[in-house]
Amino acid sequence: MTVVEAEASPRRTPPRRDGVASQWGGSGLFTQTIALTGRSLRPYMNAGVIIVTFVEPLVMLLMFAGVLKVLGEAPGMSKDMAYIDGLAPAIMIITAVAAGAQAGNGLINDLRNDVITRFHTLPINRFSVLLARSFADAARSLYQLIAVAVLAALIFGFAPPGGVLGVLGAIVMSLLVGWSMSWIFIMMAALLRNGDVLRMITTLLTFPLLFASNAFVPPESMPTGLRVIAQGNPISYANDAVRSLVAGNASVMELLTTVAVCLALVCVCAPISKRSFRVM
Amino acid sequence: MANPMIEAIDVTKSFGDVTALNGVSVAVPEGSIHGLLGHNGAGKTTLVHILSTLLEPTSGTARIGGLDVSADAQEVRRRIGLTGQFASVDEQLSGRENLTLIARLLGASRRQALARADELLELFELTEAAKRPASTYSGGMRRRLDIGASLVGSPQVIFLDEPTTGLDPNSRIAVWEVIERLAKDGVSVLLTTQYLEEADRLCERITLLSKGSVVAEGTPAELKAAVGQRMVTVTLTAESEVPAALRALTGAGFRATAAQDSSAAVGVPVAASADLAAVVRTLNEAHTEIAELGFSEPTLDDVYLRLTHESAGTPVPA
Repeated sequence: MTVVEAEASPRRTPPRRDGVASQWGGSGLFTQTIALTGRSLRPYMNAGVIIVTFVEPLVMLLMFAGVLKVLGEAPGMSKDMAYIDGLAPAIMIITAVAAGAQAGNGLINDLRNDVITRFHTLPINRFSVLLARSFADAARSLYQLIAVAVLAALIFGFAPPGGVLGVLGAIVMSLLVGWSMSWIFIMMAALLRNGDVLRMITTLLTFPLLFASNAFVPPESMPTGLRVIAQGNPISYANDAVRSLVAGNASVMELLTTVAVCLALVCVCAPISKRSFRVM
Repeated sequence: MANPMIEAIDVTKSFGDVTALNGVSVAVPEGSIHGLLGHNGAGKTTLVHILSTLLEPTSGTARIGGLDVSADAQEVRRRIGLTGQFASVDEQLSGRENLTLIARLLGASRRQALARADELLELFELTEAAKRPASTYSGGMRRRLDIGASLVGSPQVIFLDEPTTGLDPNSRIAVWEVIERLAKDGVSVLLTTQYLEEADRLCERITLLSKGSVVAEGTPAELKAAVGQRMVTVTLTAESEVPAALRALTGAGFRATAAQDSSAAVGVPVAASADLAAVVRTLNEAHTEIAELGFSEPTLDDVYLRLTHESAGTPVPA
């Protein structure tokens, strides 16, 4: 008599526990953001990028301080201050905002890269990916801001009345402005999800934003149309704030207003970004 | 099936006018390997994305371990790992850093993360390359790292989207061995593939998808049987004889198809050896000369071509 063998079930082992993810207990937004910021910073940490990142503000300084020096008087600064004392803070703002604008492109690259796809299948807070992006570009801009201050001092004799404290204050304020502006671009990246369109918009937006302002020439000297834009331009207000800081005569009101506007910008753009951020 | 680990019930997904999935149902028991077989565009990846919480279904239900992928998405994510079609490892980071990053995101301490990373690196034979950036890895190594990355949290369910596409034969075998080991350890695996050989080797059950619908579902053996127990291959004297032969055989009740390569061969699935005589007799009566005669078991290729052929509505040449 032949014995009929029951079909073997080779794979029915005892049920697994929840996965070691539960053993580790999960992480919070803070840990996730730190870990992901480190990851986003990695592409910037090689010699080539570090040098180029340094050269960008240097070129700007040389160009504008050298070329526009003929104007003599920096907009919004008192007569007893050098042009560089008004220019350097403006360049800080420009540098910070330009760095922030890159956050959008950085996000698109990540999306295209598929690395983020895995993050979205992990039990993490997806917002940490966006936060990390904004912080990575802010860190890069910090490096550039310090470069601006140091180079301006060494090459052009940047030594404003506000002293080191004023300059540090300007750096912090520029950092905040740049970081909050980056959320506009992060939001656009999350909404558009198209690298080409985003790049176009970024260029179209940043150029007038930064240059149709009181950065290089007083708005009073501009033709009417441009003047209106420059006077209403939020960047002009930011420039005023950092200039007051380096001049050492910033009013609390002025600073608080700038900070408040920055935070308001983030409070509008961040939730929209979070909601529209999908990988597919 | 009681308590399937991976379950899709009548899932539909549309992107505007395009319907990527049309009422697809799949059920995978715990600890088994299930294959999704289909051409590009059949909907395999879309289904995987829905099951791994990356996409919402337009209608229908998807569950992992009994949890709904929409309502309990975060809980589902604690139990799954995904290895997508394109290796999603961070090229700037080293192999070890890629793994420790995920471990830390899951809540591991630095020490736990390193231990887990080293464990996986050893399992996937990447220990030597562990400190090098992933950009320096070969395709096979990158893919192994990718699969390792999906295992960091020891998930109960793994999705592998075309895990061996583009790999050299040795790497493919290495990956197959890893997948088999995973299932032995009780992990439930849903794997998509275009390689019939892969599905045949690895999968306990296969779902055949075409244009967003399930065309067939069963064990590899069952699917092969659906096309007929054995395949008689008749090689005619000339290709010009093929249409006449097909006419005669179809007229006699056989489901004959011409071979895809332009040889003068015709495949005839038959239920029993006795049918061989009937095939020969039919062809003789049609005055079609037989050059060669052969028997073989249908491959998944034959199943695939026949079943997707039929579902696509392409008439079998008569």
